[in-house]
Amino acid sequence: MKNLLITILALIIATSLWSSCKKFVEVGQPKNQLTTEEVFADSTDASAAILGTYITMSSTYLGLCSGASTLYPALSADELYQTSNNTTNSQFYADNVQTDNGTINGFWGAGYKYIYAMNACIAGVNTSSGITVAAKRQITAEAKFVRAFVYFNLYNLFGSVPLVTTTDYQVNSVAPRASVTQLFTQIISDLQAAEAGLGTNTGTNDRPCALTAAALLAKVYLYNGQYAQATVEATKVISSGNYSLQQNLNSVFLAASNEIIWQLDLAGVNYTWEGQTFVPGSSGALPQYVITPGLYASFESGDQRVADWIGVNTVNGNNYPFPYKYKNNASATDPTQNYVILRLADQYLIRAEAEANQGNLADASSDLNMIRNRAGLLNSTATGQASILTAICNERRHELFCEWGNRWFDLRRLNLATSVLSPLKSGWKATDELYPIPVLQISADPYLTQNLGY
Amino acid sequence: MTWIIEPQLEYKKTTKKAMVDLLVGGTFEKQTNAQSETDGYGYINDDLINSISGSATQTSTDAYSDYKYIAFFGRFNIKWDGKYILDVTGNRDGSSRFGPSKQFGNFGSAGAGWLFNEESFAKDALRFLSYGKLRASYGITGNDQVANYQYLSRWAPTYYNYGGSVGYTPQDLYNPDFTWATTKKMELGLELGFLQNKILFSSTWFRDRTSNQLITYNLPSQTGFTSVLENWGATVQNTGLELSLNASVVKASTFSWKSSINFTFPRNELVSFPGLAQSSYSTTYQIGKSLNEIYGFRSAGVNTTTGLFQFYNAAGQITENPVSSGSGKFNDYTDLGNLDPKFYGGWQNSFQYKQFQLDVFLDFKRQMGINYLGQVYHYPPGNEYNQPVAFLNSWTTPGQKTSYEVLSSQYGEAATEATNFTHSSGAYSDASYIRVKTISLSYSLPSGVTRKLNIQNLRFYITAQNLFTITGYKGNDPETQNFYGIPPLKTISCGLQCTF
Repeated sequence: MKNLLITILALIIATSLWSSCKKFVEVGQPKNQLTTEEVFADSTDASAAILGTYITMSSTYLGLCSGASTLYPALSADELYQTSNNTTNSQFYADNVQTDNGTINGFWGAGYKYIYAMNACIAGVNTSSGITVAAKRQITAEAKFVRAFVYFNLYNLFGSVPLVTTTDYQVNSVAPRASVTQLFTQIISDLQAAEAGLGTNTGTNDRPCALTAAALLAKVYLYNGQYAQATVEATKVISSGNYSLQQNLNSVFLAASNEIIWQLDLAGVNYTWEGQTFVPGSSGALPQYVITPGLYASFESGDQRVADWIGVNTVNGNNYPFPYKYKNNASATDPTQNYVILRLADQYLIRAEAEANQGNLADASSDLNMIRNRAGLLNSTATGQASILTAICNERRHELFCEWGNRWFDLRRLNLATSVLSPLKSGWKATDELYPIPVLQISADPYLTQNLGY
Repeated sequence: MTWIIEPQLEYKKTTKKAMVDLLVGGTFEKQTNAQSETDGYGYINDDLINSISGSATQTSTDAYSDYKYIAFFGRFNIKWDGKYILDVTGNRDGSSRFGPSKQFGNFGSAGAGWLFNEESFAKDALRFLSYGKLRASYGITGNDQVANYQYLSRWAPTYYNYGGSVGYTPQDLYNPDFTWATTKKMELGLELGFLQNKILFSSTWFRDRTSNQLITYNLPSQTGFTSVLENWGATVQNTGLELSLNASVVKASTFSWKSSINFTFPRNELVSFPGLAQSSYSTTYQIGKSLNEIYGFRSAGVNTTTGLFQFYNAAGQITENPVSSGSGKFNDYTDLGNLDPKFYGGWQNSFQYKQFQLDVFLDFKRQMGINYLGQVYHYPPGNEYNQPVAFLNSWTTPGQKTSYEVLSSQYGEAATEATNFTHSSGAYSDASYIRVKTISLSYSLPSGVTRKLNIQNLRFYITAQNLFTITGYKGNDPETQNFYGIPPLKTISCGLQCTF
């Protein structure tokens, strides 16, 4: 009898213990982090989810959106060479990038990390019950703008890439490469949605507005050969009155510059990683990256851009020109400069090229000359469609040198890569104009195919 | 901060025939890790260094995590008649590292042993046997060794701000479904003792099968991350045979020799992997092969005309443009074998003669490993690094037969082929070795002398570590296989030990 009582008592204790055990192993969430539901509970937090990606973009040392898109394509093209002995960089300069190159894997990984965050924002805002319809539209538009921007850059580096628009890893991990048409359709529809959903200019230009979307859309249309649409979008930006060409070239890249359509704020430092990389520590120091003799000699005499945007250090009697659009290296913190991503001068050249392709040669020349005159040069003497297009390409080379890979991308889209680069780079192959898909990606996604020539 | 409560209740009873041991208990554990850090910069006076408000700028970070673990277990052990042993355990564990409804797992094991030398037939027929035990066990164990909170879809504030506002970044891919990883362990053992246990032999065969291992599953970066934590659907099997023999070879009044040797034969195998061909591991693993299998090109030496490395393609033809694996196909990659040891072990010998003692320990392993060429060509020669002397024989003139390709200062074909070479059979070779790990010789003063000196013991000794290695390995050390690192040091020490 006594034993039975003890057994029953033990059972009661055990059962009550058990129900509280389930409670015991609940820990809630870490105090310094939020769950997805909390992030998208209100518009302030949801907006911070977009800012997080800007901060990552800007604070990453020589990341996809903080200098690497300038440096490596400039080495691959005919803009820069390096004075140090860095194997990874050598591969870019020799246009013999290996599939296990860590830098290209970094491009790929960073791009999709930003795309993931934007997809998560779009999905999170969509299902949120605490965000107003107007705020949903604004945040979704901003996320789509950033997503389109990243896809456009990945396309320029790698060609068509997998199109990922959800956060579901089981779907995304087996995504094949989209066709170029699919990719452009998505980029264009995202930018159209962004243009429709984003508000007017906020003044600081460090977050996109409707005109920022129009500016990027103009560029995308140009790359896609849709010249009429490119003209329309570029005109929206140029004639908005919101932006103006800075007549003093040294002011173009200042944070307060009126020419800037979109810039990324610096995070944690007072200098851009580009400035830190390109501007030597002292006037006698050998620059790490030097402007190629070909590019340096190609500027017309009197071109003010040589004086203002190229620095020259003399070492052992030799002159070494280096990019000087960004003035601050790690030891200088004045003037205030952010990462300039889109600026008005590019819009004039986009419209000039689009107009010329449509046969509107006078309008094309007029836009081209805006940029030439601002650089202290006389009007272009080019006549006829072909030579005006050549003059525009040449102007892009000088206006946009060492800026976001513009030269490298232009050579490819204008089918000039082989004629320009094969005399300069031994072992040049036509397939070198695209970087290889990184080996880690090719082996992790069985449906991902390699670019030709690798 | 951590606290653990482990209540236990044990019941023991011994009768003439049986020894029974019953244990029930539990574990309640909580680990809290809270951390906050404030850094101050820009002090202009050292006297203020202990005050945070004396700095011009301050930055703060913090971290926080909670871990809770709960377990209930029971164990029943019985030894019957001094011959039969039975051991059964069962437990239910809960861990906060898993999501709701995934927190608890049930595990258990059963084992039995038979001391057959106690049986009458053995006592009669196997008189030379002084000890004989046969044992078998089977059990399922659980594992929650992953980071906390992984089942939540988390965002963290950024360290920097953007125009004065804080930002959030996603921390992981959302997978709330992972739970306890379980391993099924099976073990059979035979232990024998001969000649009053002067010779002891033991052998163990084991098989561990893990079928829902918790791993950071590799993903292509297009998913936004490079991995996700999940229970891996593949079944991985580790089997092995462990043999050991201890013998007291000579035991005389002034001389003795004890020797023991052990061998382990391990084997790793991927038993099954549903959906392997469509997974991130389609060109990393193959069913029936080890997880450490190496896939690469078959090396075909240096082309005597171009001076470049060449390889065999999948069709067996020689090429300078082999295609590496990718997109779910092995292409020109073939199975080059695996880096698992075929066997390894140790052999210990102790000799004693009067006051002298000599101990010798040998360590041996049979395996394949990465050789020095595989490491050197990883940084293409031509860059400013130290190069092996062998590269003086690098290819220079057409017709020259050599194992080292042409050197080049350009990042061109030679660099591409060097990269291919690091993924080829040329980068791997035999790395088996026998190493004299320790030799130690000592002399102790006889007790008569020590007593006079009024000390307990006085001992002189000389010990050598890693004295020499027998190996055919191409590189500086087959054990560490790091051409740029320091191999195990050869150390010789001598000393005097005095105990009062």
